[in-house]
Amino acid sequence: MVFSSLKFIGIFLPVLLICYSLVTTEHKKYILLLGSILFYAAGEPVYVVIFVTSLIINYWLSLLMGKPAKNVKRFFFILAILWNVSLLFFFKYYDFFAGEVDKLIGFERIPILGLALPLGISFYTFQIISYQIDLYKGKIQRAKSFTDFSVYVSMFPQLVAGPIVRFDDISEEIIKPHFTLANVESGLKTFTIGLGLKVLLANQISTLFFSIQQIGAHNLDISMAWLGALSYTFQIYFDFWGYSLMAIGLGEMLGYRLPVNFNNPYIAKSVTDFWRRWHITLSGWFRDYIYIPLGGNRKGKIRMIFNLLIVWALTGFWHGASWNFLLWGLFFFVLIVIERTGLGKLLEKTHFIGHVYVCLIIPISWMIFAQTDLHVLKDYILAMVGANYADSMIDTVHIVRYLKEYSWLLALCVLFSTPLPMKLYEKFKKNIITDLILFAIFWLSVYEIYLGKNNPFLYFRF
Amino acid sequence: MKKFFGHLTQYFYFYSIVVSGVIILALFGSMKVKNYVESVTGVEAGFEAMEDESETTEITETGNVVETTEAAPEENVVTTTNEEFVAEQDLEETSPEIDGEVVAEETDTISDAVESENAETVAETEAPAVDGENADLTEGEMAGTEPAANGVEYIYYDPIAVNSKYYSDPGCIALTSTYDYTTVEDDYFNDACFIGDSRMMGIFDYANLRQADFYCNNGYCTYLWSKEKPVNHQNSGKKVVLDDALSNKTYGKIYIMIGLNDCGYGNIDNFSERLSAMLDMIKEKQPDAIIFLMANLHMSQSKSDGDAVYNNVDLNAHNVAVAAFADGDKIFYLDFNPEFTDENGYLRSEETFDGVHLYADGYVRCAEFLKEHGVVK
Repeated sequence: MVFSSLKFIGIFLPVLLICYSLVTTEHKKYILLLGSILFYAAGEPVYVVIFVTSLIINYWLSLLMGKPAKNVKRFFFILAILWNVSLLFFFKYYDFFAGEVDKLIGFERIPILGLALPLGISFYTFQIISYQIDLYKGKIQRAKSFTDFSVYVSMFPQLVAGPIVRFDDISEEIIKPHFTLANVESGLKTFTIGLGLKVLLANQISTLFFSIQQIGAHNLDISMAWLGALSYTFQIYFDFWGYSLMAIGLGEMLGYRLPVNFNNPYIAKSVTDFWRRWHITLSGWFRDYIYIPLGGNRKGKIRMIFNLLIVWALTGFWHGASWNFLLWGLFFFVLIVIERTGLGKLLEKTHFIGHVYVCLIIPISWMIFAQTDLHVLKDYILAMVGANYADSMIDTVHIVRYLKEYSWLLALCVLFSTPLPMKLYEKFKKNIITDLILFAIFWLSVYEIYLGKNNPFLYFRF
Repeated sequence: MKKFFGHLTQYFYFYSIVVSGVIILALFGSMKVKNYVESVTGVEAGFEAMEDESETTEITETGNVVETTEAAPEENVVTTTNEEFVAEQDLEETSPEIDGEVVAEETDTISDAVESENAETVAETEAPAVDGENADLTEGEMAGTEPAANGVEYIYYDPIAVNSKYYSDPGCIALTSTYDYTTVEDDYFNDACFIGDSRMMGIFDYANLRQADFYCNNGYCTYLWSKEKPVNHQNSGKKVVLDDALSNKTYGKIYIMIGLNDCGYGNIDNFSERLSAMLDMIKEKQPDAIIFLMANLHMSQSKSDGDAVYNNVDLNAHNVAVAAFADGDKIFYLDFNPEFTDENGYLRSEETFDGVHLYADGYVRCAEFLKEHGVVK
């Protein structure tokens, strides 16, 4: 079940909130746990078994880690990490690596399993690992009960696509959520903004990128390639930011404060700055659980570069089991290493050049991210740098037509990439006009979802 | 009371969403209940009932009876073959390798160079699957097939069992109708018009045939035409009803590629009726025009497999129905699928992004095909 579906907005959420409000504060977590498992089962009727099993094993291992003897503690800690990493590896990467090995040796030696990826496994695995590490290092108190631990991992707002929450962020709220009407109202507003970003911006602009991909990367000229890259740049941002806002809003409605995941990434002035603002909980996770334990920048320049390499290769692969994702991670690795030489500070000081640099680099990086087929990726990047001018099938007519059709949407996307709309919202949050605008956004989004749902031929209409 | 209103205004957004939500849910729910009651009491709602309305069917049927003199023999051949093969397939169901495979046999009478090429591509690759019995039967059937009056040749194969009330596997593929086509230049299209769906728009966009008029938009189909829905005149961007557009200007050639989106509206017979009516209209308004019926382009494997409505079997059934309208004199059937499909009839994945539409350069090759298949009288 996704947040931007009628089932979720029309049935699941109202029913859950009613049940949630009916029980006492101490019992709310049981409703939340039950709801979250149902939420997960609705999307993954089979893999919910794996999810629950993993919860039980992890909780059991965390109990064993409570033993005083240091070696025993360490043993169970390593076991816990191994369990989670192998689960993730098995479902997400096994087929990819098996396929690559088979390709290398020329025949199918290692069987491809073709298993579907369990929903949210990348997110909940990282969340559980953060819990086990924090517990091992004594940064947090162990969850009071299996329910508390399960609520922390499975809480439906963040279960499927983050934000990646740390246990100490919400451990108090699990016991005592701040469930008030004020929070419900405020959370509903945040949810509405996220829904609007996802349905009215991301979904709409996605058709532009889709149409441009239909032309074929090998047929694009430089302007159309950039228009496509730009549209995907907006699509992925509003899609993910919208989803994160919906999650935060839902958390707020339930009386939880979930961490912020995006802070106007596209106004960054360097790639380093961009990653301080984009998917903050993920980059924070890699910093705290990979980069710093590896030694960070405390063990000399060469070791630092090596550590960055590891972090960015992993970041790339975390996004998907395909070479283009590794390439995407390494692309950032190179840029960040270059920026570490002092160029980054210079860029951040010279505002204009910094912005231009980010506006050029980020769309290119998203194309590396989006094109899983390396041949298509090559064609696309060639088009972006203007190298396949001779083969281009693009006329000014085509560009003018797309610009005409999408100019308003693109302008809105640019506007919402700046901090202005959210600043205005914070300022006039209590204003009746804000309420009315949000009301319109909410029902317009629901209407759009309804149209999409009742129109199975929709994707034939491009 | 004052406190109550204060509370309401403080949480205005929450209450407005809740109240409007309850109202909408109630309306939606009552609509569903109403639909359910109607379906139980026999008053069927929805599209299928609309398609089967006895009145419409009768009118079109009578229209069709008048029309059938030309097309009847061909249709008969196709249907009998189909039935025979279905019966044959029941017997054959024990051999799983054949079940579901496309089995083909080349016809002898192919004269046109391009067509024999087409046939070869299909027949060559699929020939190994032909087992003796089937091949015999196919030949037997073929012997009964007069060199089609409308110039369309068919490749026959074992139809696969289809679990749908809207279409069945016709058991054959229609090939480009035979004619001494000539290669034509760009100016051939000066008095041409193109009618179709999003794939025709691709030809408008990238094939450099803008001297012709294009009446097409996303999802356009004979069903929408029959409901008098307007279509975009791509050259000007204006919305027009096709009948009006054809009344206002005289065309020498009319190219039609339509049917993919009809898969979503009714069954094959409904489609044939609508296309027949459409062609009647065109022939009435443009008595001197040569009509080219273009085969609907197949879909890729990933798109076609597993889709109960939009799949290549259904699409091929539509294409066979389209081909039945060719007369070899004023109406011709052109199939450029072999240019883009693999040995199983799937659109090759390197030709398409979404499995339905060609990359821009593919549409240029479509235009090349059309230029190689000009009819000059």
